[in-house]
Amino acid sequence: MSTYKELKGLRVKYVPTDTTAPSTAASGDVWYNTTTSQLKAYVGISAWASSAPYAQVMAAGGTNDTGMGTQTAALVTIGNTPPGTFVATAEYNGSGWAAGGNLNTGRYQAGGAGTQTAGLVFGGTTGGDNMKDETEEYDGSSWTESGDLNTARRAHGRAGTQTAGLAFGGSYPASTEKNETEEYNGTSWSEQDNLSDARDFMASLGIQTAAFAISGESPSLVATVEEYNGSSWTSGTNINTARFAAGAGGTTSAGIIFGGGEPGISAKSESWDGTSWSEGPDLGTGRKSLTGAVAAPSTLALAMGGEDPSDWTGATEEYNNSFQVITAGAWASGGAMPVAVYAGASFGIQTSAVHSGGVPPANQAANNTYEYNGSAWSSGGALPANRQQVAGAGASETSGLAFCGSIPTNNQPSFTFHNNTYEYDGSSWTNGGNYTATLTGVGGAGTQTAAIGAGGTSTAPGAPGMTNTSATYNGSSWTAGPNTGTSATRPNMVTGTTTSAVSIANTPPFGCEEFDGSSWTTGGAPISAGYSRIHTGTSNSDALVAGGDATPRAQCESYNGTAWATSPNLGVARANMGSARGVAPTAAAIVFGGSTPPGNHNQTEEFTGETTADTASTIDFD
Amino acid sequence: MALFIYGVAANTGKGFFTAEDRRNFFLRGYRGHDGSNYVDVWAIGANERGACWLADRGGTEKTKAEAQALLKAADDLARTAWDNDNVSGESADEKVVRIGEKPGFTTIP
Repeated sequence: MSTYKELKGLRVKYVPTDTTAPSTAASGDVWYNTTTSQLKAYVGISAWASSAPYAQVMAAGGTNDTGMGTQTAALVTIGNTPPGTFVATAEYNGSGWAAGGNLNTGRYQAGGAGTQTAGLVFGGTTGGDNMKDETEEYDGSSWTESGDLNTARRAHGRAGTQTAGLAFGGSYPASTEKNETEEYNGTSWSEQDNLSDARDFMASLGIQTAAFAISGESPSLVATVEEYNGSSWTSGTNINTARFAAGAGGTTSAGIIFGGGEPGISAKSESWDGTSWSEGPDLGTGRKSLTGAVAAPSTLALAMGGEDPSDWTGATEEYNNSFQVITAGAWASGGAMPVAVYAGASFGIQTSAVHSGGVPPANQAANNTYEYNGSAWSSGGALPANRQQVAGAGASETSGLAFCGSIPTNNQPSFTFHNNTYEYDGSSWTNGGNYTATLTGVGGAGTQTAAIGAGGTSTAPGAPGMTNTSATYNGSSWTAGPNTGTSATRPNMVTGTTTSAVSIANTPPFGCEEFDGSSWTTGGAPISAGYSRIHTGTSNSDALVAGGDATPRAQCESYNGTAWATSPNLGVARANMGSARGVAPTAAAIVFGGSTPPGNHNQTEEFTGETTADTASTIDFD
Repeated sequence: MALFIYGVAANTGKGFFTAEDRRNFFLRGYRGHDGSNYVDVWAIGANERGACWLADRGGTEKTKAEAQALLKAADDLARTAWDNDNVSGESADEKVVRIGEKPGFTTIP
């Protein structure tokens, strides 16, 4: 019997814990846990997941689209847009599609190799016996013609890169299978050893010196595989289910084939581990005439386009093999505040937060301070004066700021406005330097010695008179900063630091702006707009907005510096919450209080972000 | 089978619902009003864990119509408060800018 070392070239490691086991943390790693006396392994779980479809769909028969690149940077020649031209291409970035440069010579059923920024297309047809021999190279934006194939063909095998391509088999004229092989050196094609069996509509994978021709029509359906080593073809191991017009990816030591026609449309996938083909998870959408990303490894394959039972499709699916368990993020209830309140100064982190001032149930301004320790709220030192719509910044219960804000005079909507700054040390508030303007509804974030404020109004909360000013605090005084792009109130709607912040306006058009320490620029557009939301996070690439609006909602969105995405919803729908901002990462965010007019909330909610953990399986010999 | 269970249970704070609860079943809280007081109304995913969650917290199960009526009562109070919040000479647009749009009606799922 073979030993593990004989098979893998390595000894099984002896380690005290699973977390110290494999240095690479890869599927297939095996180790012995000396504490639990168990043989452990990372066992990958494979699955296809749907992604964004491309809009243009090829509407002609055969192996139509031609895929290149990887799962996060793919390129596909699509063809029939506008109808009959076969010149369109599209680029995939791992989440969505954008138009690529048009081919010079329209075609479908072409061969393709390389990547999204160094692609190669060769051969193909525009229908009937109109076979193509043209070759084109892609640089990420446009196609340039290069040396022609020696033999025009369609529905042929393809492998390799832009500077080392491989074309084999195919048909010319239509339905006459061929076995010719050609190699491309970046300039021209040269004829090589022929396939043993002439075939077309095969699946193919690999590089110029190590490629597979898999299944296809010869002329009837075959399950055979031929392997190319750079000079000649030899017989390989048959796949389990013969098919034509399937997609494929990977290498001759770790490959994958998916979909195709049996002749009925198939969703099956099979993986090659260098020794044998084994059935894998089915595609979500069974189809034939699809394509794969030729440079993608077998564990990160990409299936694009094709023909499903109802019609031509631009469907995209990603294949992943992972031993990791992903636990979704979620909001959970925290300790209830002593008073239902909103619009106070709030700061800190999930286990050390503060809310001070704000609007208590009597609908006036308060000076009460409440501190949260991660499980319960308790009273802290009172603000020197009542304040509502007061901005906050700070790292914890013992280090924070409250600045600006307003006090209703008699009854709303008559207010007096303030520029005072107060510093909190965990027990009492002392005067700091005054803000650069007398405002209410300012957004605040950062720490007690490095805070940022932006927006606000000098009239009434939310009324005309809103400003686009900003300022930074150094622990003793405020310095005027650059203006934001739009004037707006931003209560609780700035997050981050003095050098990396993001803000959403609390008034129409509710735009997002990013601050880099020197200027405010337009950020990604939030998915939804609304009044009185809460904003939290640490920088202009880690932010979260929650709740808000006249009819309070529970929806949340997260920001990664480029785009907003939906995030797990709050447990309780509400607006005007407080939050720990500027130092609490979105993965450990906290919100508290808030309002659902005409009443307030005292609930606290704590967010636990999505986590990914390596999960070891025990190898049991029973 | 119904997708949701509805109920009233006072949110007692920390531990009332956990992140694990949120992963195990749908849960969404709303402000309702029972004619005397505001109450916490919950829409809960109708699986075994969701049903146990409401029972474990001493909640009172409601029909969907009863839950919706509690929300409407709270919405009516909010809308009335909005209608009554006026400033002499203020236009309708100015009022929206000052205090936001008039609250709508919340529809429980």
